[in-house]
Amino acid sequence: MKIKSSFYFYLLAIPLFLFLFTIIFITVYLIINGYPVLNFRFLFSYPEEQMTQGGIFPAIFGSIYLTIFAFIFAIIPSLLSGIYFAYYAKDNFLTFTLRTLIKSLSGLPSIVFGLFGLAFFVRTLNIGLSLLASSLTLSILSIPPLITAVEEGLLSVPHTFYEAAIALGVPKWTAIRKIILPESKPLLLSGIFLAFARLIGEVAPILFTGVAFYLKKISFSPLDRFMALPYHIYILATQHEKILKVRPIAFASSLILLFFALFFGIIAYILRMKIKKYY
Amino acid sequence: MKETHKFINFLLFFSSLLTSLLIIFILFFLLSAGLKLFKSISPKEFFFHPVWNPTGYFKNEYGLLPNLWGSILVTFLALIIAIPVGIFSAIFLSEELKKISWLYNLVKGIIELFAAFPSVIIGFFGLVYLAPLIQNLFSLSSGLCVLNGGIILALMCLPTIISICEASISQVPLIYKEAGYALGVSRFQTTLKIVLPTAKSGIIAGILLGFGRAIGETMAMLMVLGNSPITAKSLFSPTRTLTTTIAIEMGETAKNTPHFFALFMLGVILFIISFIVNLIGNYFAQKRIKLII
Repeated sequence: MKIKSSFYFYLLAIPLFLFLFTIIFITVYLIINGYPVLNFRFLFSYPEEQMTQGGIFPAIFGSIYLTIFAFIFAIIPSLLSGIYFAYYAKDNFLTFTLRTLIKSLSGLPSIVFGLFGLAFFVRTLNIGLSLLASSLTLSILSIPPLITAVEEGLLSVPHTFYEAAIALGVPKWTAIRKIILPESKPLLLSGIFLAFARLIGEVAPILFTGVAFYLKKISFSPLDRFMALPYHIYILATQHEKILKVRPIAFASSLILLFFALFFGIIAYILRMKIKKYY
Repeated sequence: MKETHKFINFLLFFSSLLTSLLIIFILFFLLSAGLKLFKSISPKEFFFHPVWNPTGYFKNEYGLLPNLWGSILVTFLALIIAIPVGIFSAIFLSEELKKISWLYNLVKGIIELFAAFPSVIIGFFGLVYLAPLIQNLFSLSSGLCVLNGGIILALMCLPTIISICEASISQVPLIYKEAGYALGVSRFQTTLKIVLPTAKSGIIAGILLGFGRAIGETMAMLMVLGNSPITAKSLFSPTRTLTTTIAIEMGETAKNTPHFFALFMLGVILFIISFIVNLIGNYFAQKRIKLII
């Protein structure tokens, strides 16, 4: 009887195996096609001959710079709000409403953030098409998941830690800052790396707010436009005049982007696993 | 001391208030640009005119329907594939594979990592691998079509559906299952007749949130749908969606033209659809938690 049940369960799992196979297939397919083009020069040189030759350095630089800026804008409000929801918010209708609004924000399509960035940061605040406008737009997108990460992190610390501190006469804010927050680090960092993984691959929010097709020089000024790796891939894959000629470069660029996303994703996953062992 | 305490309380609350008001702020800015469309055309024309042709030779036409139809068609196709796969996978993961914990963690890890795949990369795969495959298989002139979009989108919303469904299935209390076993019902039968109905709310939540994820996807759809303005009539015709129309045309249009405002109006529609779907989805997700405890 028992064997029979397991058999049915495995029968149900056939589509899951297909799905897992597809995931691995996509990864291997990109590695096989992208790896031969990759070398040190590809990573650290500029595109040449209308992107049919040369490397993707400005795109990698732009993506990293953009992600750092977006993170800086997002982390402070996320930390404050996460602490509020975990330790200060009362269980009432106001809290419920605030939570619902933030949850809905996280479900909005990324292109909607792009439209908002265009209407608000680029046009109303008159920042113009720039890295600043793009990173502000991206930061809004990453606030809801970061709040969740902060809150989950704080709540993963046993409540007895907090009670012990309060019993010793430590003020609430100090207890959270000095005891709970440091203890919650693994989950918190996990959430931050997951946010990086998501930020580095986003295109729709930066599409109308500052990303550039091609730039001759990289710029450190946040008021300048920038190139970004995922947008570069999109251009190479669909918008380029000599699509087949740039295909190897598109494959190699995709492999690099996937490497970044998986690198951050794997760190996040390992940190998340670590916390389970602790408690 | 008391003063700083009060200040911190206020700061934390103020930050939460601001972040939660962001969504209203976003809607306000989308509406303030989008509603200007109705100075040039009537709402009736926008909502019911069946043609989207913003750069027509004689007349510019801004009909919502072709875009909405494309979005709905591709999303439904994706869900038809992803719902059974997602639910079956969730059942298998929580009721069978959990027994082999290292394999369970590995599979969960792969699925979680797949959720972090950038959408341009999945779109690129659809463009260079799936498109030629579909083209040859069905002898079409191009493999960039609704079918391609549906398959790619199904892949992309599967992690969401699987993880939410699995969480709710594994929260069904053991005593429910034991009641089944005590009656001599097999493990598989117990899962189908007792566990699944109990986890119903969570499964509905997973499907709705998967739908919300799918209808908002932009970059991958931009690369695999072929972006034709014609209303798609079959699985093999190219189409466009709300998201792809905005993404393609916003870069090309002049600012403050009816076309520009019409694209914002499409954004408003997208906002409303995903807001409502997410609201209901989150309601069901919460209901599940209450039911169990």
